[in-house]
Parts: sequence; structure tokens; C-alpha cells
Amino acid sequence: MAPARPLSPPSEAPKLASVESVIELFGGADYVCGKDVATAVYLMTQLQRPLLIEGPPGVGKTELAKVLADTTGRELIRLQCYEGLDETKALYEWEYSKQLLYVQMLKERLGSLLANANSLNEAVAHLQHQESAFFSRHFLLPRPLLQAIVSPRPTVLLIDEIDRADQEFEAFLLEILSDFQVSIPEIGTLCANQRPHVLLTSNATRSLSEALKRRCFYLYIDQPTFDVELQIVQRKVPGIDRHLATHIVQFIQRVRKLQLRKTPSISETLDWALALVVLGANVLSRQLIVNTLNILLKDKDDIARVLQDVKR
Amino acid sequence: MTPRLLAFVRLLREQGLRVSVAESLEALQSIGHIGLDDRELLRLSLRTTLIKSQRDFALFDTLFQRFFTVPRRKRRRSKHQHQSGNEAGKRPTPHARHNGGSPTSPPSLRALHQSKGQSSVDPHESQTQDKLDALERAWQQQLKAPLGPVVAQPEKPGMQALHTRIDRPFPPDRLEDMYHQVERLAVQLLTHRALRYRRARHGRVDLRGTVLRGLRSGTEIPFTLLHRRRKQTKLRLMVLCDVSGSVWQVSTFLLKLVHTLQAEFSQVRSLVFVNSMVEVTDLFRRMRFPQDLKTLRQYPHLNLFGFSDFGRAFYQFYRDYLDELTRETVVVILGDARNNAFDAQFWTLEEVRQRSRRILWLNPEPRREWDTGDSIIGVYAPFCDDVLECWTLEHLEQAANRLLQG
Repeated sequence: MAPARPLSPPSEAPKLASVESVIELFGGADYVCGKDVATAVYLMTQLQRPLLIEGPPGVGKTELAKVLADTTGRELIRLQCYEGLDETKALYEWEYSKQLLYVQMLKERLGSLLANANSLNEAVAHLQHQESAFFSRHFLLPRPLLQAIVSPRPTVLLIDEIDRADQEFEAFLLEILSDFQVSIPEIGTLCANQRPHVLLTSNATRSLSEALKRRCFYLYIDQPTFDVELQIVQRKVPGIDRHLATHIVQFIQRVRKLQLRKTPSISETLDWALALVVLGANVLSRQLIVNTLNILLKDKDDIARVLQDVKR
Repeated sequence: MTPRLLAFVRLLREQGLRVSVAESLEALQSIGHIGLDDRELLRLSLRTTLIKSQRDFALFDTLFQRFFTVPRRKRRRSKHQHQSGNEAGKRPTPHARHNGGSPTSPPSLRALHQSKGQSSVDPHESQTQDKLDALERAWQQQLKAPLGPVVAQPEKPGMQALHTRIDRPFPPDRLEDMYHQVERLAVQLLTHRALRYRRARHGRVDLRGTVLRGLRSGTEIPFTLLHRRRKQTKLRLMVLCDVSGSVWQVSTFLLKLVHTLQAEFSQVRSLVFVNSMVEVTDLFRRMRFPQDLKTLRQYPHLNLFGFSDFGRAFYQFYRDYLDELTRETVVVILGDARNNAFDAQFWTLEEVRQRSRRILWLNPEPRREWDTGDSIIGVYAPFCDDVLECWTLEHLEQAANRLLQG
């Protein structure tokens, strides 16, 4: 691949033409979203800006990226952040062992190449001519960020849980996010031929730097309202009884109002709903709740708290 | 739309929200895509582009509501005159058009606005100047009246803020802002720290690893040097906060600071006292500032109206927590050491000092007031590694720096 390639023709994937079409398309992919989510997604695709998504865990931040990739026919590239994540894990690395292996295999060839060199200096000069062979794309190990940039297909780049990475990594990201090009000293500058759609998610365990926020659009996804959650349950759990779904969601909405350590999120609602369907339940009885509450809540004190509430 | 939007951005800034030029440009572009027909979409897209924190949503929504609504009476009249059904979203437009030539709008923005062919097609082109003026006046009145009480003063960042005395009570609206400032300060500290942390992490050459890696790559010659990763132990923190009336405010700022820095320590335990020690770690871990401060004040067993008794509180700490102290524990005490002539029990502090790594005492009184009246800071000071003043944000920053040094 040449460093700078001409822009490829626009893909034939369905276009996100308006806020309504986003809602519709995402709905088709079983992702129920409100106008706020749709507006943010629409704007980020139109204006080619990264979108920073915050919200409690389990409300579908990562899922949003997957659905965006699916509906726009883009490839999803995911970078999971963690403490200590650095450039070699995020951007690129030279594949060192492969280089060495090639040197070993090409020993004879190298010998013949350097055979007519009279002095060591001359041999080194000869070798220098061949250097580019060993620092070529062939030995480059692209990590998610570089993958997103050089990918021939349009991509969705998901930078997951950015708040887990160190602050300095944030600064490094800024550079990439602003112009989508990477300079590799041995090769040159690589540009993205199609700007990836970039989504960053954060659980807000720490506040992100102002600089990063300034460059992104911002979306906050909260726990869903009753109607939205009911829709989600009905779509994601096929064959669920309407009454049961309503009861489940009512119950969850009530549980969320209690002061719990970890309020159950949509993903937990879905797990629970699925479990109840598998158990063949039709009605949400008290006994059933007591028996299956551990699917919904994962903290001893929380379970006790809810059980107390159920008994009333 | 441009001048209207700029005015709105200025309003946001006046209310203490940070909006950059780039962000306002993005907002403008987004309007180009969204159009002005749907007021709700307009609100959402402006919020997406201009507001970068969930806790500012409420303020934004209030301002949007105020700013992009025309008084009912005026609206009815203009509706009547033009029989335009689609009034709601397009309302800002005539105003914008009217304002278009005003010197307050930068030409570059306007040029961009026009060259982009934004969808602000003006349905009221024929409107006469008088009517526009009337509308304008209505706007002005609308804006003037209700905005005052939303948030009072624009914040003045920079050096001045650093020297603001934080031991004096703030009006409630300023207070929230101060918590933001404290948080920003902490985040800045963390950024610097992350850099140093990374640099310091690489230690001696790891001989075993180097040889192994050499073997793995098929040669006996180790090409790359591996460095041993230095193990960095995180400190444990015990925060003892005097929360009696005189120092309550500074205590809350310290708590906020520690709250933001929490992740830098392997464990943070917070205790508050007036004349007896109460552990509030559980509450503190999930604390929201400043809403939960009230809960803190009403914590069971905390006698907020008692007389400060440092000696008694320290004795309790000595009795109940001495075994919890390790060589990694830093003890931070915040208090004015005004002991109301009770027994100082300073020997307890000496014991604590011997079991812990460091004791850092922050005194929210200016140094010249130390050891005056019933202040006995001089009695406790010999057992502390640092005794610092703490009555401005700058002091707080110094204290945090000292804290993170380990």
C-alpha cells in the first residue's frame, strides 16, 4: 500500500441521511434509541467528528458502536483501553522476531550480496541500501489505531473505556484524532483514505481532559425510561410474553430507584428476562424474584436490600 | 442564525460553561445539517456540540429554554400576521437576519454560514423593520429578566482563583464552581503525575528477560535490553477531617480533592470528627459534591454541635485504627487545632506517627493565627512531618502535591 492513496469511491452502504433514518436503521438492527442518541450519531457521521459517549456501565455504549458499524457496513475496530496502554499496543510495533527470522533465512543471500565489498565500510554502505527492505510494511504490526487508518474499507473505530487509560495516552490520542495520520520514521506518513467514525466510551471513573472533550461531540446515555426499556426487552428477547415484559421492566425501574451500590443496567435486565423465559415463567411471582435475583444484582448487600423491598 | 448562535454561546460562557471557538463553529455546522425546523433537534444538536459534561446539561437546557423562546404574546401576534404554521423552529431567524450586519458578529463566521448555504431560508424576508424591532425588544426583555438568578457571577479563572480564600463561606452558586475548580486542580496534578509515573517505571536491566527474549527470537545474541519494571506501590490514605463549623468549608474542599485523587491510592479511608471520630469511607466512595455533603453532616454519631476535641478524637483513632496503619499509610489531618482547652493527648499522635509513613497536617488558618487563643497546633506539630497552611486553592494544590509525593 502506498503511503498516500487516492480517495476510494463512496461506499454503497446505507447512508444516515437524517436523524429519523438513524432511528429507523438502528431500530432495524434491534437497537432502540432516542432522539438524543440519533442526533449525536447523525452529527458525528456528517461532520466527521469523534463522539465521546458517557454513561453508567451496561447502558449500551459499546453496543452503539457495533450497531453503527453494522448499519453503515463498516468494519469495527476496537481498542480496549487499560492502565498502562501505550503506543506500541495502540498504534504499531515492528515485528521484531519476524525481522530476525528473515535475516537468518537470507543469510546466504546477504553473503553473496556483500561478497564483492572490499572493506567493512563498503559492506555497511551496501547494507544501508537494503535497510528499507527490513523496515517496510511487511514487518509492521499494525495495532487498532493504525489498522483503522490504513484499512482499505471504511471503519468504525471504537476506543473503549478511555477513562481506564493513562492521561498521557489521552494526549497521544488527540494527535491521532485531529488529523488521522501517523508518521512512521522508517516509512513515512500514512493517512487515512477514509476517515473512520470514531467512538470513545467512558464510564466516567475519572474526568477526561478538557482538550479531549473539546475535540469530541458529547453524548450521555442514561438508564432507559420505562417505554424504551420495554421496547428493548421485547426486541431483544424474542417470544417474551408482553405482560411478563411489562412486569419485569416495572420491577427494574423500581429497583433503580433504591439506593443500591450497583444499579442494574439494560444488559442485566436482558439477562434476567432471558433467564425467566428459559424458566418458562409467565408471571413475575415473588418466589420467582427471590430465586433469580442473583442474575440481576451482583452484590450481597444490594440483594438483601431488594429482597427487603420485595417482601413489603 | 449566526449572530443568534454567537449570542447564545456568549451567554453560555457568561454562565460559566467553557465553549471554545471550534465548538461554536461545529455547532453552526451541525445546524446546517439539522436545520431549524425542529426545536428539539436543535436543542439536542447544540447540546451535543457545545456541552461536554452531563452535569452541565441542566444549565444548558434552562438557558436554551430561555433563549430560544419568544414570549407567548408576541408569538401569537406574529403568527397571526404571517399565518406561518411552522413558527417554532424558525423563530430565531428573523432576529438573526435583523442582526446580520451588526459589528458583533465576526465576518469569517458569517461568511462560512452563507457559503455553506445553511438551511436558514428566511420565510420572513418581507417583514418590515418595525415588526422586527418589536420582536427584538421582546427578545431583549425576555433575556434580561429571568437570566439573572440562574447563576449569578461569571467565573474568573486564573491566578485570582488560586488566591481566593477558601475558608470563608461562599454563596451557594459560587460554591459549586469552587468544587469544579478543585476537581480541575486535581486532574491537572494527575496529568503531571502520569508522565512522571511512566518515566520512573523503567528500572534496572532485566538480565533474565533479555536473554530469554534473545533465545526466543532465534539467536543467542540478545538484541534488545529488557528493563525490569519498577514496582510502584500505591500509598494508603487516612484522611482525618475536622468538620466543626469553623473549618467545615475547607474540609469539604479537601474531601473533594481527595475524592478526585482516590484512584492514585490503593485505599482511601476518610474519617470526620468534631469531638469524636466517625468513619465515612462508605459514603465518601460514592459521594457527589456538593449534594451529599448534607448527608455527611447528618451522619449518625457525629455531633456537629459539640466542641472540637482533638485529643479525644485522636485517642479514639489511636484505639480503633492503630492496627490499620502500615508503612504505606499516609495520615492527613485537617483541623485548626483549637482544642477548647481539652487534654491534647499528643502522645496518641506520636504513636500514630511511628506506625505510619507520614503525617501531614493542614491548618485552614493563616500561620500568624497559629498558637493564639486555644490553638495548640504547636503541641501537635513536632509529631507531624509537614504542617501546612491551607486557606487558598494554591495551598490546597501544594498540599495535594505533597500528598502525591509519597
